[in-house]
Amino acid sequence: MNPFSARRISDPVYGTIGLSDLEMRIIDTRAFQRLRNVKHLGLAHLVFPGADYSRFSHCIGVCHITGRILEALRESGQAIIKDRQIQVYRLAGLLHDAGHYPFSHAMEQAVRDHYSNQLYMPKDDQAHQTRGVPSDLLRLADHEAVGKEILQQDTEIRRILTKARIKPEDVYRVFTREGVDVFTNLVSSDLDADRIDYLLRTTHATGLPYGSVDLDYLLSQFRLHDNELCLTAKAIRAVEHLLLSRFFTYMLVAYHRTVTAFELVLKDVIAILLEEEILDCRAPAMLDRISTGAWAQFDDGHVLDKIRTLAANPPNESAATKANVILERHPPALLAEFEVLGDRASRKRDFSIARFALRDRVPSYAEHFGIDRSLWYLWAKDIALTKIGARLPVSEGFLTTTDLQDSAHEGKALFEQSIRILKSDATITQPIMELDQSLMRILSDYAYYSLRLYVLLPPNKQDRKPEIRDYVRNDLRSRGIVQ
Amino acid sequence: MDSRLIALALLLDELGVDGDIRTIDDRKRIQKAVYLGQRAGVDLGYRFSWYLKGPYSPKLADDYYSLAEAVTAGDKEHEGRTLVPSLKQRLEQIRPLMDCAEESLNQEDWLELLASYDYLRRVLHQSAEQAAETMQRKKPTLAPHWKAAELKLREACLLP
Repeated sequence: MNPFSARRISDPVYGTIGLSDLEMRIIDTRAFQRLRNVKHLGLAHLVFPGADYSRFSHCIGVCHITGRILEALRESGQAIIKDRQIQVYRLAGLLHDAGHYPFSHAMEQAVRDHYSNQLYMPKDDQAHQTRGVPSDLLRLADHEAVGKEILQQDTEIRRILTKARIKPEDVYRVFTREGVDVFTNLVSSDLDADRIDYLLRTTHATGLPYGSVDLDYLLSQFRLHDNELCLTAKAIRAVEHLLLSRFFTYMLVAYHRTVTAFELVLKDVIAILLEEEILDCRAPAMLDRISTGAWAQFDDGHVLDKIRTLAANPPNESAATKANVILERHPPALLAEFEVLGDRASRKRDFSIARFALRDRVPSYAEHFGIDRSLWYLWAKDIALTKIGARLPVSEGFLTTTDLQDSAHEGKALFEQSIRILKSDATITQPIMELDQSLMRILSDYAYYSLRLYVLLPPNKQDRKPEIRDYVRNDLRSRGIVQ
Repeated sequence: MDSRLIALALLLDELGVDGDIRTIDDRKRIQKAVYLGQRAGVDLGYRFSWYLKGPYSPKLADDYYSLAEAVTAGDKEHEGRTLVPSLKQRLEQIRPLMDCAEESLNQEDWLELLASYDYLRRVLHQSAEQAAETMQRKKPTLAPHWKAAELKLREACLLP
């Protein structure tokens, strides 16, 4: 009997899927049940009503996809993989997001930025010359670090793993990439179970038409070659379609104008909660939550309660306005936008100049209209189709270097996570962006650049939006910052 | 400038590492210096994973590109700041590690050696012998220098 079909559950994306008894016991822990109350897409549900699925269903999906890839490899005779090895990787998929903060990435970034601020002081600040900070203030400002801690400290999960004779480090080293082996890329790479489930689940939930990935075919084309996970050359189009679909989904959901506006304000509100010590996310407080089990209540609802507390008793008027953006769904107004899709060599510098020029104009707008500077929000993002294309031109990492061992460290680090294609004669594998016949060869060097300026209008200035927008746009045009 | 970029710039400054990222060696130097700085107790929140050339943090890579972009655009906010004294003290303790102790290695390779050996010992919990064997397998050109690395890491109190 297949141990991974001991229990069956219904999933909206894959239909009926199997789970092992061990996985069910992990799912029943309080730390895992918590994920039901952490939305995967942050505040995207304020724009897309169906985009409110949780990390709970996503993690089960990642477990399922990880298992399907490994079983496909085993059935094809590509690798001798024992059930126990499959179980460890499926558990890594299941638990890879166990350490996510409420509201996912927005809160993680807010925590990191806020506490970074405590590491330094003005040079001439004599009053703080003896100031000390805990050395581990930021140690858990990352969901994978928190996940690692949960596997080590959570008493329920530890007891279950110990009984099954599985070491926690064998599981967390997969999703943290602390120890990399041939299958690590199944859970953390350009085409991994995490990204596949994200795409399928997000498109299913939002109703966007970009999730028709040929999953069965794609999974059947995974291979092992020279200890490297790769896909057959026949799968190139299916892979490209998936990468493009992911790009469109990011653009339409995560980077939707109103979604990004809400996320900017959410980060700001969380920073206020931390500043006012309504919320404590320093490493000692996080460790305490994990070791006492209070972590199970540290979810979206917990933070929303804190935001309500802030709204009821705000330290200033701006804080109340910001809290109500989240509680009452009043998005900031978009005043100006600059977006371009271009090759990174020529566009990145223009984008950078425009970004800082725009930022420098904001104080004058704030003063001109008498709107608190903290109510103006600038969003800047460059988005590439592949990890390697996000930072390095492909040529820097690989193409001009004939000897792989001597190629760039950084390029190598990224290429290690890139999708590799097995040549049709099965002699070597190559990153997909290196293949002449691949769209990714061209598109990896391109990125989408976007700048947005928003303002959160105070109640007494709500009717001035058209005037402010026209003023800002005319000013930016006259200075050549946007066309 | 974002506060995490200010903290990064100040840590590099304290360790005497240039924030220049034009060459691959420049960026490798930053990756390894920040790894060692965090191990000394100045945790900026970067998590490192094992890649071909040792510990590497993709988020750190994002941040040094953003830092360079900000500085190029004239943002010098970090210049008016300094790390809090207790963190400066911790970095002082590992400052000597930045100077290459092996004649045949350049600074970036020396830092790769230190960071990789430390990672094997402290993160993957390998014994000295296991770490030396891993270095021999994964980094044959750096492996002959592992004892010098161990000595210097002990002097800096990063290894017991």
